[in-house]
Amino acid sequence: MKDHDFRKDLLALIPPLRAFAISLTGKVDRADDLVQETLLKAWANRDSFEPGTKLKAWLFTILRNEFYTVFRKRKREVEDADGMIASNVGVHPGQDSHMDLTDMRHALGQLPVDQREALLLVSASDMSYEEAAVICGVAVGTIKSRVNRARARLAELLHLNETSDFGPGPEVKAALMSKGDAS
Amino acid sequence: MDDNSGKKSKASGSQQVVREAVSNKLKAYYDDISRQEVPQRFLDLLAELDKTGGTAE
Repeated sequence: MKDHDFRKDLLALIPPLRAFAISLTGKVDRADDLVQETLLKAWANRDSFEPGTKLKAWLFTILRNEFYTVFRKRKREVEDADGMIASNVGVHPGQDSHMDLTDMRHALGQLPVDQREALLLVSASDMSYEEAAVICGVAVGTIKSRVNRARARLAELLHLNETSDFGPGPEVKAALMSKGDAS
Repeated sequence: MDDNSGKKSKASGSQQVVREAVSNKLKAYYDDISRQEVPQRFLDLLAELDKTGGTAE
């Protein structure tokens, strides 16, 4: 692939890379450092990319490896790395115009990191279970169960779960109502 | 028996609704980030790489 085309393809994939990195880390500045590192590594290794395979999956794999390299370093410094991410994410009322989005960021930060990445790859980044399994280096079944657990936990954290003491959230009620209308 | 099976299908139906609600919320969050403009630092970086042939590291 010509360098110029490769560069164009990289540029087009920055938004999905950033979305993955920001959702994974909960912090925009750390996420952008990851994206920068990913772009540099991808460029330096562009000859080893096989045209015809998915560049997006290749980039996500690089970004994920970078994340874990940093993550492991930090984990040595701070015992509870998941907790650290959760507290870093924080909730700053009024700072975010969409309260829903702040809630989601906070909730994602409370998921175990392996579940978080599986959920982000499959439910948000449009990767297949198979692609996510390759990216994470685990079996397809492992990805499926991580995604399921992540969804269930997220539903709890966002009070979308109708079995909670508070009853169904407004989204569930709305979805149920629209379902009723459709049938 | 009839009650049980009725309940069961109702439960999995609303489970499906909960799943969809989670996915929709996640998608909305993700799309919001994806729609943000690409930060200038990345445009500069790629321009630099293209110029130097990739030894920015």
